[in-house]
Amino acid sequence: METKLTGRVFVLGDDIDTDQIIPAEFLSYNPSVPEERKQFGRYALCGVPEGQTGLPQGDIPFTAEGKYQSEFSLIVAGKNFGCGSSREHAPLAIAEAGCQFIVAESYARIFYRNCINGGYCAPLVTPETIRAEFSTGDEVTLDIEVNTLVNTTTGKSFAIDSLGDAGEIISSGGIFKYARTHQTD
Amino acid sequence: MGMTITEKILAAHAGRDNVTPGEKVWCKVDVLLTHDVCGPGTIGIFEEEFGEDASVFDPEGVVIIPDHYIFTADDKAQRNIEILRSFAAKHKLPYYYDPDFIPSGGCPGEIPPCYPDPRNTNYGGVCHVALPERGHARPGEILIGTDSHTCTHGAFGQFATGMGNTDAAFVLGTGKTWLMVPESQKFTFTGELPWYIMGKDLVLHAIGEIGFDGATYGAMEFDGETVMSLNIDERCTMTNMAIEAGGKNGIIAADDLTEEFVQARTDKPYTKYESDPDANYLATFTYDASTLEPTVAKPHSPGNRATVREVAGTKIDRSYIGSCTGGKTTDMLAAAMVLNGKKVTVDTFIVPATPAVDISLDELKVDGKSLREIFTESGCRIGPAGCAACLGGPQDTFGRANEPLTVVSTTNRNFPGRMGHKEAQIYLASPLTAAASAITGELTDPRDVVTLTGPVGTRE
Repeated sequence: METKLTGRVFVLGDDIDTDQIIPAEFLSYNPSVPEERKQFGRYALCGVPEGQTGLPQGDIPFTAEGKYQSEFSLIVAGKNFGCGSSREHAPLAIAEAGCQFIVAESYARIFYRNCINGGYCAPLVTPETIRAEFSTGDEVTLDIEVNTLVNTTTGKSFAIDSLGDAGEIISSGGIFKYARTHQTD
Repeated sequence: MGMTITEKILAAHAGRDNVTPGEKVWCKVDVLLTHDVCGPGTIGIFEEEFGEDASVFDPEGVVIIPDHYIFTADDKAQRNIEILRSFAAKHKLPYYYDPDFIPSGGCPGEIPPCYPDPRNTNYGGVCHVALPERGHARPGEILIGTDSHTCTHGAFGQFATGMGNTDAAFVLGTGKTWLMVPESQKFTFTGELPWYIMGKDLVLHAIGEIGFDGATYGAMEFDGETVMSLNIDERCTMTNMAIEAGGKNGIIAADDLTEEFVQARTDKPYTKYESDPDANYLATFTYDASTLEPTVAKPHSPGNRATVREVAGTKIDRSYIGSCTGGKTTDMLAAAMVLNGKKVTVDTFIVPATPAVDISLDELKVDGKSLREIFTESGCRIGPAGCAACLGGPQDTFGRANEPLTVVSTTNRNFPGRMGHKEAQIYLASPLTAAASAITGELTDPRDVVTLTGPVGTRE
């Protein structure tokens, strides 16, 4: 995981559940098969209803038709991101699409844990509501060493909470790789 | 300071005298549950991380129940069952519940046939109903499942929670996991349960109270004379939906009824825990069940509570009665008691959760008629046991909302697209309400269609 990123932002609302992140009809793909794993990037966030995908405009797909990678490298969302099922395919889909960072007001428990332990993407928390300050496509700069997110399109800067010990698990590539590099005996 | 049941179970599994909320503790896991949607990914990570020849932590502690995508022509879904089969054979897992009516190699391009006889199949059906039926839910244990509704099994006085593939693979190899001790909230229901109120109404009421992220990271403990008067099916309906408030686990103390159920299905020893009188709760809520109204969750959130009377008259296109929270024997009986002698006016899908529930459709009688006869005569379509359209699934799934329909459903989740089409409007309700609405074609309070002599889901 990079500690600094400059890229374009994709904006979502509150309560983005795992069925919106990766609809159940795509869950028969096996993430352990590389050719099938790619499909999750293609369908990432395709379940978000019309009017709510890529705010404020609301009709922007996260991954363009026929592509496997998203042009957006960071998601800004509201509260309770990732609520719903335990499907690890959800953070995996966002990561497969090439997006390593989510900045939201709060997360559902299983999604948060899956992001970290699977080493998929960093679930960053903002202490305040900031999504209205971003439009999908704005250029942003994130620096997780100083915990700030800057909307370079508007010039405004926002604080984010530190990932704490979880940051190292993600940058190691997940709980297994972390454990191997931190064995004490 | 005393401890809650949840804290006591975690302390015991962490080798500690006590734990406090917020602490992260390493716990021994008793049972790992997985299914056909998350099993293949979990197995893939397990083999990559521990090696192709690694052993699972305890073959008796691994329960694999394919249930999500069984009756579909999706070739990947059929392939996933093969992956589970070979894994179970390789590790000699005694508790793998094979859909044995699907031939080796699957049914290319076709929906597999239904089991010819529900009495004669090893297939489990919906994992959260099959797991207790087969004796794997035991008080005091820790159960981790690759499914968010694993919290169901808290109805047996155990700690049960859902996790992802990576965490499950870790458990599969080590028999351990780290857990943050959750803060508990207590929901006490007192008073006599009216016939028109079921476990689903109670839990939808509680979720509506705290909001559908109101228990995030927390434990939802259900208690009170009303809850303890419920049968096992109805208790499971309640704990099943703890996740719909974001909860880590739902839990109900084990009592004599729990023990009777468990002992009839397993010889394994278990430990009963009760919350101490001075245990600490983040919040406590007390409700008089006798004053509650039949309740729904409106689209698109399980916390979007309304009474049925508030939304009465809303036209529906479909009624769906099934799933781990709404396809158990008690749910089937409740629906049949409403539908008996009446015709449905909208497409109505009945999906028994497990082959055992399917058998009960023939064995249980209302006014001398089997539930299957009642459903058939009223015009319902009955499907084979499984998760079916509760989570949408592949396009050819039985009961899937492939169009923007308005559906009243006994399932547990109504997010956009959950049952198929993104614009489908899903109202979550009890089987009494779903059946009453099927008759009128609009959301209907069961009291406006029938009068029953007592609650369907209380203990005998």
